Amino acid sequence: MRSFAGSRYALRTLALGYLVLLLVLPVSMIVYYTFRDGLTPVWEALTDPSFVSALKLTLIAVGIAVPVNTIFGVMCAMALVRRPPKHGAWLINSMIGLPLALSPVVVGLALVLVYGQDGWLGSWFEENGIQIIFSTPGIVLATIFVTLPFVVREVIPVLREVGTDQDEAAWTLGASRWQTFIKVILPMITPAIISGALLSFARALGEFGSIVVVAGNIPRRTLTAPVYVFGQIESQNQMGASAVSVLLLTLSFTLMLLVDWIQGKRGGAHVAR
Amino acid sequence: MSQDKTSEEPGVELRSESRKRTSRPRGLEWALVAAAILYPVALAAGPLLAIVWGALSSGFGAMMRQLTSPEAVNALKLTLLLSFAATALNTVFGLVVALVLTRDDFKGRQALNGLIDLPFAFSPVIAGFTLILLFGRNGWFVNLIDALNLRVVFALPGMLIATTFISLPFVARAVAPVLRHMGREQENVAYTMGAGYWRTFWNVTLPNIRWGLLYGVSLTFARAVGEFGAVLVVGGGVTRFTETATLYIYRSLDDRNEVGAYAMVLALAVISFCLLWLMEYARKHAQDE
Repeated sequence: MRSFAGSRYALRTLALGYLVLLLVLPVSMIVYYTFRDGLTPVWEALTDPSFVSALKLTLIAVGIAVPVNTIFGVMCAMALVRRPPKHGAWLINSMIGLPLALSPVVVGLALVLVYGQDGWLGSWFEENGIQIIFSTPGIVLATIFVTLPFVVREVIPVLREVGTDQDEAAWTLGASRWQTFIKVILPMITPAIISGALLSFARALGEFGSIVVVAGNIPRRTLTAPVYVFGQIESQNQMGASAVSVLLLTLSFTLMLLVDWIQGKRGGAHVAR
Repeated sequence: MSQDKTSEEPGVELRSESRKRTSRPRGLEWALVAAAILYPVALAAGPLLAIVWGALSSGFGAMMRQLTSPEAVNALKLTLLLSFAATALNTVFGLVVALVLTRDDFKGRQALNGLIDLPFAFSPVIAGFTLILLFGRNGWFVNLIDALNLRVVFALPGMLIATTFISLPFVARAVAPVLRHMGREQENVAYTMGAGYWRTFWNVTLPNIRWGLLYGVSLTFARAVGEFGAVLVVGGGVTRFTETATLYIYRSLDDRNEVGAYAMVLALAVISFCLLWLMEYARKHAQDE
């Protein structure tokens, strides 16, 4: 296709130009801004006690939400592929996709309506002394909600692709159901599980809208890392905001690169993402 | 085993048919299947019903009055304007990026692949903040903007850039695997038969990737409509000027105008549902092909 060299270069330039303008420029700006005055202010910003507690809270929420969604995600994918319900599969599929379509603010407010003081389940929890909204459980719940799709959507296509030949063989050779799952199915879907979990992790690290609605921004109690960044911007502390931003970006971007690497090994990402 | 597995009636409603191998722990398995399937429904359905209930609890009339107030109408208009513009930009450039990723080969293509995922890993707040650093009072481009007499931060252009940034990866990410799967044979045939680059794209490539593209476009639009953090930081949420629908909800909650907040939430949820339906429809077709 030597004759189309012109179009090819044009496309290449367009693509690169677009990404450089929209992505590379802002990122290099924030990195430059952070390290402009050396490492001391960065270190000060990152060791600020209220940031440390915000980061801890974010990691706690992510640390609960990601494993929960990974376990249920694998179960859900197994159920949907191996035992698809005759009716209502569309409903389950849409519920899994819902967090991709819904605004974080809508998610937050919906959770308040259900689990808030006057909410449907909230009043019951309240009576039993459990506070969900404006507290850590609410943050965890919001994080679980927004990261719901990723593991399921990564695992389902792989499960479909591998089919049932291998577990039939294991089954015929006398393996139990559990053995078949652990020794045959799980190794095949592990890369998909890992990349789904990493995607959830990266997404959860940056979650802002739903958490700010569900938990507010009570320093040291319900302040997560992205909400902390927002507070720093509002109070004109650009140094604090950018140092924390660079840390968060480095974390989540490393995770994304890992995902790319895993998916690249497997032969490209799937449509379902 | 797969035969008897798939031919059974699966799902939540279990049948007590005779089993070929009685040693299997059937009850436990069904419980697991039921739990797995009910998990997303339970997690998502409750909050959804709560939204509808919350919006309608003070009456349909009150809800409509809130939704037709000038502030609400302005906010919705702004959200739709930003979303359409960002989606249009990202559709065109997303296609270009996907084509470059799958049809071109040059050093650094791998880096391009990683670069596209960047916005996915970006917290919306940080995305907005980088724009302030670039275009704000002490920003890099402040001279350029002043020379052009343009306002970016706390104005529409900044919000458009933020929305575009946040919804950037979806079209490219949805289309690239379909392009790869499609291969280049058909395109090469078209070239051989004398079709030009543009004509081949239009008549051969595009029809093949249409479902993947539709999936990506609906994801992009959904993300753009729902964007909150980035437009809050960069736009400031000035009523009637830079207040989008999500910012309107946030402000209404602060003002204790709950009816207004729920009404707008319901409006956004309805938009999301249409998009979700479109997404699932497109995804199904894209997977079947």
